[in-house]
Amino acid sequence: MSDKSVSSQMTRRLLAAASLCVPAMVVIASWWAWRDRLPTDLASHWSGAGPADGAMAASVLFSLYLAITGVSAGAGVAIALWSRISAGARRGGLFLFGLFGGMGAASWLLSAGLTMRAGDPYEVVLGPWFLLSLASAGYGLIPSLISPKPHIEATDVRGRFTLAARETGAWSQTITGNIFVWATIILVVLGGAIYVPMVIDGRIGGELFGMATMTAAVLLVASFIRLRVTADWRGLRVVSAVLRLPLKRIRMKNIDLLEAGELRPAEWGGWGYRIMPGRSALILRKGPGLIVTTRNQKQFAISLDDPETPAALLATLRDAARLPAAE
Amino acid sequence: MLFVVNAALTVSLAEQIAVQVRSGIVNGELKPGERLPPARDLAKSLRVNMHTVLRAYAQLRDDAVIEMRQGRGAFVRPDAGPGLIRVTELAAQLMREARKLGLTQQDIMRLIQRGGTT
Repeated sequence: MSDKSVSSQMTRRLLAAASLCVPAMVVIASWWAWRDRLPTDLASHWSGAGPADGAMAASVLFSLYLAITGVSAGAGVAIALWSRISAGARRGGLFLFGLFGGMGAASWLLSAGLTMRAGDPYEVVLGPWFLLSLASAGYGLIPSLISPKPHIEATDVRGRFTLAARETGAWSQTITGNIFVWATIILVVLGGAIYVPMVIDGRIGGELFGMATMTAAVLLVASFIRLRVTADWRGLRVVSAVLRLPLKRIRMKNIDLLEAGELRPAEWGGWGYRIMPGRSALILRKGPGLIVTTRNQKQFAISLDDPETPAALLATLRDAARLPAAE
Repeated sequence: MLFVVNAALTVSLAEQIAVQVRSGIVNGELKPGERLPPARDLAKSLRVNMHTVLRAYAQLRDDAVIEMRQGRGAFVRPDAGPGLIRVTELAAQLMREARKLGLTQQDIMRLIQRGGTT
């Protein structure tokens, strides 16, 4: 790695660390600006759409949110500057502490700002500001994205097929994700336990949204039970064989490297459909799988019994597609 | 499983696909009860006409290698194993050779019956 690159990476890490300090600074600055106008007690808890049902002394609430944002900043700075940690883990850690910091600062601003406006902490209604509280969790993305990208170490599969001029190949396999079978069963049992008594008692009217959400969750998880994986001249496609929904598509022109390797759930964030910054995976078990690295340095992995065949076929078709038309 | 078709061969594309499904069953890539790729998808993957794939599937169905389930697609028959595939291949080969010699279906049936008694 060149000196310039190292310097650029360090700058990004310092900026990520600085961005994690912003929530704590916002809490301190707002307290300083409002200190003379802050009521003795501030609204601190809401149970629904109505007014607050809990309040805390302003000094206690300030200390609490200062501690949350301060600890997040301290831990985040330590992670940002820690050299031994991998870039991926650093990004994950920064996201987590950014999330806590962002939510801490937003909660403080809402409690203090809305109580100052309402006067009585028990008359403070959160209303649409609730959305700000939710959105503040996204603050974790800022330090995470500022931090240097993980350096992907990938090698290209060696195997190739010999295809004649008018010959073409395609690979297709239907795989079953037992983990999604169990997850679907658990969701159905859970949904049944929650909603069947309500249906029997005729209390379902107010729970239609919850029931619809549960049904959607069951359908979503069930769509992963049977997956059809296809490798052909178009690239790699993963389609739900149950609902016929496309779940993943990597176009041939975007494929950079292909690997048939051993997938360890711990390295991909666990079992199931995993989405991480720059990486996603369908991990059905520990064992062989196909890893595709795209040209924009993102990776997708999927558990397959025989990943060598689709890897070699896609590599063959990718190489052929890159050949100049004149050849 | 892997499908490879070559438009330059004299063997029809449908026959090439059918042969590969049989091979897939023989070498264990396709198991009894397993679903074959939908004809439309496989046709797109191989850049052939969908009717070519449907012809291949129809041929395999006629040979009792696969079964077509209404609205659900094509599945390898539960009783389709390497033995059945081998017999199917030999039968197809017998039919080709017999036709070259100008034998009628009745002649072929008579030969088979005679073979069965020896």
